Amino acid sequence: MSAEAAVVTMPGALAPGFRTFVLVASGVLLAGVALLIASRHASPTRRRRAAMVGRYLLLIVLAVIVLFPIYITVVDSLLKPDQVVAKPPILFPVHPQWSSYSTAWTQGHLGRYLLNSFIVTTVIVAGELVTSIAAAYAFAFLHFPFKRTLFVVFLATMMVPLEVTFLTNLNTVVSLGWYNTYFGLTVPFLATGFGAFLLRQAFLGLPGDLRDASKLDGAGHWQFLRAVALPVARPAVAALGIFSFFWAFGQYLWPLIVTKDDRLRTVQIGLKFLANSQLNNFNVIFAGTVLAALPLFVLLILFEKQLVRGLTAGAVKG
Amino acid sequence: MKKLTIATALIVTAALGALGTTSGTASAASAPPSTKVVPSACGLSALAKARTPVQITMWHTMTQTNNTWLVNAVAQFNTSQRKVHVTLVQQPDYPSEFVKYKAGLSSGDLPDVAQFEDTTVQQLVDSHSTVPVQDCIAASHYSLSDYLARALAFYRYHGVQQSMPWSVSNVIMYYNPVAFQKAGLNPNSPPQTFAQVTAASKKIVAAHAATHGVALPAKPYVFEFLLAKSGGQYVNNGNGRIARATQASLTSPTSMKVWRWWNQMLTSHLALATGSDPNNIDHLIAIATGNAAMTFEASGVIGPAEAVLASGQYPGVQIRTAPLPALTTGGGVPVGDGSLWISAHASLAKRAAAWQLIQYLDSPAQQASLSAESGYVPIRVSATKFPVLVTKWANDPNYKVGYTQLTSGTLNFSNIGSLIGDYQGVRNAVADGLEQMVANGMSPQAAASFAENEANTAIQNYNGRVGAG
Repeated sequence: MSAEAAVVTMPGALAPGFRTFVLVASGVLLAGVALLIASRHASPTRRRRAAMVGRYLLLIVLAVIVLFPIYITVVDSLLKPDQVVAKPPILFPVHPQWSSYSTAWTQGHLGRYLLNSFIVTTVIVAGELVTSIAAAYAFAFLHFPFKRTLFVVFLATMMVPLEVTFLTNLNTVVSLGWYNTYFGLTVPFLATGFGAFLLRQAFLGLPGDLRDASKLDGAGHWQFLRAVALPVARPAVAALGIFSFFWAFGQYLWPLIVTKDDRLRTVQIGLKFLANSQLNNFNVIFAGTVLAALPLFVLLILFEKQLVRGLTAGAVKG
Repeated sequence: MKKLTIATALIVTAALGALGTTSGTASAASAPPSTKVVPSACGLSALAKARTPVQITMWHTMTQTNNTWLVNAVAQFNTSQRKVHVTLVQQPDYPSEFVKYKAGLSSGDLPDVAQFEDTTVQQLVDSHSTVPVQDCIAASHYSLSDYLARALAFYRYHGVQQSMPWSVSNVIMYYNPVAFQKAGLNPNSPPQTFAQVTAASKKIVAAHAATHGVALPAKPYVFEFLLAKSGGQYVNNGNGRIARATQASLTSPTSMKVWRWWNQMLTSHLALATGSDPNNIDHLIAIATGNAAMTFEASGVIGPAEAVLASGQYPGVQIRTAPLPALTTGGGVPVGDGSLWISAHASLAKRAAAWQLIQYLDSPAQQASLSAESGYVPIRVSATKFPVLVTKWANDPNYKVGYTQLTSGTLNFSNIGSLIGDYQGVRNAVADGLEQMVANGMSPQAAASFAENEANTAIQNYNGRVGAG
């Protein structure tokens, strides 16, 4: 049921519905673009209105494209197994089968896996925030020898993919006796070059006068960080926290390698087990997927503003 | 100055990274694989001397009812004797298990005995991380006469048995007899050659018995089995059996005939193309939903497929199995799926304990029971005489087809099964070639060359890495 498979099967199975969708979507897109272009030559009021309608049309189409897979995952989790593969596809669950969620929860042991994921993710996010704030502060406000070179080394670690450091990290974790422990699951990710880089950029956005002023007022580093630097950099800190959460929550390979058995395994591994043990019960697999993704949705909704602000702030200041 | 520091930092980091990736495996893999038999390496005397039960860990990838079966079988084994105690550790699937195993060569978290996929044989031999079961066979004078020759042959490396076949299957044909009847075809004599599949598909489509005649999943192993049964080799040097394979044989005359037939079926709309992911079951669903009347898949799926139909979700659909069609009749197929390996990391006593477990799981009684439960093919001739399997096969002949197919045709280099280091790399190449042909309209010749080039690169890269290039 991968996306790839869906594409390959398309000519036979989904063709008519899909073609209609593509036609309607491209029609609306074209209308939006046309409105935007036409608005350049209209009177100011009409121009503004046309541009707005055009922009919304574009956004609606893009939103539908982005949200549809999530929507259909929820719908499929509420259908019966045979309805999931029905043709034409069922787009609304008239008689929702909530039992698929309890099946996924109990048979997939999702409770334990989710708990492990939460512990691991919380520790990683907290750790990464603390180390990143400290490192970024040093790089932004302190003067020490080889500062530039050290910062470049920090940056260089961002270019090394996880796969390269994999075995080295594993050997380190094993030699420390952290194999199959929460330490092994979390410690390798408590500090990242990316976090230090992102927050340093945010701190550098502070006018130098502010630091000087607070120095005159007798504020030490700790006070300045808490009262001035952090509040200003809050969007970047929030963005880093959310990125870090998403990444840590979605890990598969490392938790699989560094744990011995089920006690410490995380939810992504649990989902794999669920998918393999419910081959033909698509609804249960989808329900499990929704349950595992729920924390991410909640986080996204709660912190959406910070996330966007953090992204754009970084983009403008470079 | 600034540029220089960036460059230096990058080089230092890259060098550190490179050290990390190679240190674990390079030293072991560069030595030539040993084919010597050392009975003492099996550790029988160490087990005999042990005072307390020897604890061993077994990694496996069994799921659903197969997992339940294994848990019960091992519990029975544990209580039946006092020498060995087995702990099972379930892994998510074959690829994840193998990645974890390779990481374990570094971390030391390794099983004493493990169920690995057929594609791993060459890599495990190259890794020197296992004890060839031949050592144990020699040490305990274990008789192999009751085993199916083909089941043993796949897991043998230059005359030395590396692992014991256990959860073995092969790719067979699944078809809907109701659609056959509707199309005026005899459901009791399903097609045996590609030409017959084409002819039957035409009738099925014409009679509207199903939208397509056959669903062709772009799964490399399905292609492999069609090729093997048609008498074609997958890679050179006798499928890697005479010497290490250096090139893929995907554009050989026999291979080209398979590519062309596949393409013809799709372009004439007699076949439905479905996805290449190993877990994809769109081709089986196609039978259930009337989108196709035939398809090809491993024999291990019979159980789940029948369970789905029995649940009444798809009224009017039945499922029956038959040997795989091929270019001509009379060919044979290799085995696929799982065999049991003993880890060299295990102490002598644990190796012998693992060997005891393997003998138990391979015993005719356990093989009969597993086969009746799952659709895996029994690897012992005498297993087929056990009442549980006799009854099962009489009640549901679908389960017997994998066994019949595995015991027909003569064993040769085409159907012994391939030894390839980067087996997954070659499979990815075949999947890419099929996708180019199926989805992008590439000609069979071009798609086969495309796949062969990619496969050659994978093979040569691997050979270079282990110092055999």
